[in-house]
Amino acid sequence: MRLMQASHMATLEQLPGMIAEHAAVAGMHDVAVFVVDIRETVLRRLTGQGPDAGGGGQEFTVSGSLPGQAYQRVELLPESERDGAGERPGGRRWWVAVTDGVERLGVLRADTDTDDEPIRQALRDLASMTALLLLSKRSFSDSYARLARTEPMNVAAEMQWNLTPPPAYAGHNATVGAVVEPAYQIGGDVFDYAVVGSILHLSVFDAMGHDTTAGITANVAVAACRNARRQGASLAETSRQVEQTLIEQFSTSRYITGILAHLDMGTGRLTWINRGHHLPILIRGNRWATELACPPAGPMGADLGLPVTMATDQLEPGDRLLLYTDGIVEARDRCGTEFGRDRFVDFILRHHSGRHTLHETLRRLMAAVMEHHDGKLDDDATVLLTEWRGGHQQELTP
Amino acid sequence: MSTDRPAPGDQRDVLQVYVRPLGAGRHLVTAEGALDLHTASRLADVLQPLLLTSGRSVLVDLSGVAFLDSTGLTCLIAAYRTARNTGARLALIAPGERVRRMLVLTGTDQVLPSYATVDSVPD
Repeated sequence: MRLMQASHMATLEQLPGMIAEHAAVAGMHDVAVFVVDIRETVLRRLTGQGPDAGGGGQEFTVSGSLPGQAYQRVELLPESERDGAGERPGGRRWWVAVTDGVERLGVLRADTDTDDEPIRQALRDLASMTALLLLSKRSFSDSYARLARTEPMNVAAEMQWNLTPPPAYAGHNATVGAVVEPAYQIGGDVFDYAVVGSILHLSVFDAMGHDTTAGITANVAVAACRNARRQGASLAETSRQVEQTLIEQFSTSRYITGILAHLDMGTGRLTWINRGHHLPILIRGNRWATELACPPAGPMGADLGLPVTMATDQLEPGDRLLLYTDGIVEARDRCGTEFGRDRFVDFILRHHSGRHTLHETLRRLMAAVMEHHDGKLDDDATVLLTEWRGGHQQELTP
Repeated sequence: MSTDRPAPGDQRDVLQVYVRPLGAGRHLVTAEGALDLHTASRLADVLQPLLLTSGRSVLVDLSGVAFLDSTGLTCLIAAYRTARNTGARLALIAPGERVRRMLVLTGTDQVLPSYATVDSVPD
């Protein structure tokens, strides 16, 4: 509590020192905070030094290190006695994922003299508190933005990262995860979700083009979408508002495709509309996947004048819903072979069946898509994955 | 968004556009190559003036277009809107599988009819 109060007036740069100081009083020594980059490939130490607040700090890869393991598995992991806490005989060195319960922000390192349940719990508590402190500073810290980037970013991507909600949500029987690539060069892809009562709004958009105007189109579309739905508009009305706003701004020279959906998290009823976008995929259990159907009403902003049809589907507990853009399935390798819808669904089925959390599955999916495309995507690729547990809240694994 | 990317070696910034009057107020516009960000304006420059005459039929042969991106699709949608406003008629001839997939996905096929051949377009 005292740490939280002390942090109110602190900058991001002061956090690591403040956290270490308070942790030492509770028997956790040499605490260090590591922040993950936006592509979730590397963990960088937050030292508070230099222009990115990471000056002189160590870094670890997410895929090939013990800290990375703690991050991937969202766990508390001890170093083996041999390498651990050398300066504290009989002590232990720990790595614990820093998360607010859903979004993973990085890892925390600490040395302790003992290894018992109370100290393990204290480490988890410290990691939770660290997550909240980082989140409270992230939105206005350029140092954080610099530390979390490994490449220069274009203007459209800068807009998109500020536009989207956090890439992870859990609550009310539902878990949501999202990934967008190319992280540093996004054109017109964007996802959105929001909760009102028991309704979870979900949407994915793909604006035409790959330039800054595509980013502007996406921003205008999401703002119009939020504005309409916050005034209580139906899905169809919302999409018409988006269309109208885009036509006012761009007079039909720019359009955006999208899926807009409402999931009733109490009943599992999904209502949705299709504005000329790839159809959602429903994965049931670990058995089958199917494309949901709804006639396209044309891209928003193209003014095709088609009727907007609302589709309804009843989800079953455990169902997963995939909203995505073409960059995922159409990423091509050197021989011109597409990543493909089957490989996409198969990847989700194989990795997200007990082995990995939903968010870790998405991190691995994007790494696989990027690798398939030699590390450089030409088109934006976005996935918004929603799992509905329906009355099995205790089984939620964010 | 885009349809499938062209295989390496394809020249995606090349688009040839030919116009041929067919008589009885019909014009056939043939496009060959990639219809994308770099080339779409070439097709638009030909299509738009033709569509300004009410009652005229403009048939766009897309059988030689292997690649269509969102800018290419915009060009077709803009042509459809011009035709809708002027009372001209616009139809597509033999779009390939990749192009057709994008027309169906977006719903553009519902406003822009496609025919297998020029002869199968009704009067």
